[in-house]
Amino acid sequence: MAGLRSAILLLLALTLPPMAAADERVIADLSDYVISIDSGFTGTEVLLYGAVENEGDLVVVVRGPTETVAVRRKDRVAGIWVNRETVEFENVPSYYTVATSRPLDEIAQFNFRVLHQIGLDALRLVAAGDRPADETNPFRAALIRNRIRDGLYSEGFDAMKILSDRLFSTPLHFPANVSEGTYHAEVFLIRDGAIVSAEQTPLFINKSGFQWEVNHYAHAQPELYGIAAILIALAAGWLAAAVFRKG
Amino acid sequence: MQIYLPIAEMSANIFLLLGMGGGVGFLSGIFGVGGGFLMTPLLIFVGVPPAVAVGTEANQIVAASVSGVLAHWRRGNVDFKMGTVLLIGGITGSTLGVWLFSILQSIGQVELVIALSYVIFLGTIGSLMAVESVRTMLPTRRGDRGRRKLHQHYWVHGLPLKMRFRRSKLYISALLPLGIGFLVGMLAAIMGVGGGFVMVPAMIYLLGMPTSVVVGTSLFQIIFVTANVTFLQAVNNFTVDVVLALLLLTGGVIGAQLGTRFGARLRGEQLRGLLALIVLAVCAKMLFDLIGTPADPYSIGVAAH
Repeated sequence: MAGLRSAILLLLALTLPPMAAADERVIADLSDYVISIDSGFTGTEVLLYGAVENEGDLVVVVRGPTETVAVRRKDRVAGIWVNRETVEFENVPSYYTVATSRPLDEIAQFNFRVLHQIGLDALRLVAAGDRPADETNPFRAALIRNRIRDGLYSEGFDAMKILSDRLFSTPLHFPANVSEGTYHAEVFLIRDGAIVSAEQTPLFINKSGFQWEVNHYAHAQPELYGIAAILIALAAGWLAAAVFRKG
Repeated sequence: MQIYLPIAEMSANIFLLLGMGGGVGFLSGIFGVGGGFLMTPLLIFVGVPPAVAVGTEANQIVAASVSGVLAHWRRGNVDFKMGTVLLIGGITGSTLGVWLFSILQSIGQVELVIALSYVIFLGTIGSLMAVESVRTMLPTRRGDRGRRKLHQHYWVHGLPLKMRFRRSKLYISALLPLGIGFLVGMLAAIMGVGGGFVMVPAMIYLLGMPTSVVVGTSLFQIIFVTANVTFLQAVNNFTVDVVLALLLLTGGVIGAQLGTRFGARLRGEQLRGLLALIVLAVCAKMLFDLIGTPADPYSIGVAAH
């Protein structure tokens, strides 16, 4: 991966036309737009790279499709750990990663980051129902903690590589358990706590091949899928009996 | 080599899964047990969501039981009438069980109920087997332990709805096999087991069936009950992973054949002691996971609606 990164950066450095100094643009691209989850999928890495004209702080935000999740807390009941309280969150990004050129709190203020949804602490996660924030906050923190552990959420400033203040690249990790759908990668150029330039690129994650067909079929035609599962098992069992009877 | 399991939605090592199928198949070949009660916990231990482990195991047991029942059928060791009565109870119990499973899943308690059921059943069965094998291994001092009468009469023989089961040479109330089938059906739905480890002793000691027809008849019932569970789990809970089931049964079929051959060369009481140890070890691990403080008391689940 490091080799690929250097190669892409070098290529960019050689091929980028000289731009006017007044141009405040940030341009960015991905090494891959489509990720296929097939039978051998164990996670993958996509390189986001680009160039900036002027100095400033770079912030890369990648967001996956949203979903509703239930966060449950276990408490001890009669010696065993049992799920007790549940808080549901709506519109939770299934994937969320922030990569920056500097520590995030040095780049922009919290209020600004909340406005643009930049940073795990600024992420808008709304608990369903009218529950006071001090009750749901531990669940919010647990949701983020769990997602970080699963490799689905991240935030950091050490992964971004910057070359001669103009070229940048950052690897995006997608673990095996990523959701299917359209992802959005946004790159912000921030100076003095304000956005100077921004660019957005979509990224598609598709389940493909036999496994996806199975998953799709199981949800689209559950009755037929169930019958097929039984028939396959009956055939396999009969086959096994026949083979080993002769053997 | 990793393989993506479409319903469990996780990557797992293909050789690990084949090996697990083979290992449990080997044990079931040696001991003549179904193996579902070992496979479901193992799947949970390697990270398969418990609900998927249960649904998928039911699917695998369909295959394993077909292989088994064919041999018994050829020898005429299946009491179809008794099997059908057991089956009526089993279909009712397993349908109710899957319905309960869906409710438990929506309120986030299905994993707890699966684990608790395993701790209770494995603990009980494992302890009974351990005691039994220790007792048989010790030199028998008391020469005569009192022979069982051929037909004993308990309260169960006073129940109504008597039926004649020719193949089993019994004239008993149909309520009894119906009740046993019902209980075993519930277990199949919630634990992902065939339930032979409960049904076989119940058929011998409660119903008084001749041992020759017990295994074949229980396998006959298990095929249809686990098929019912497979169908209902697939339709209501989307928890049947065909790819996982196929891998497990491929390993399982080979393992069972080797196990049968190997088992013939071992002594019965030592085998039973060994199986008791394995069952108790799995039970202990499940119990530990229930009472040990979790690394993170919070977990993420599917929303209820």
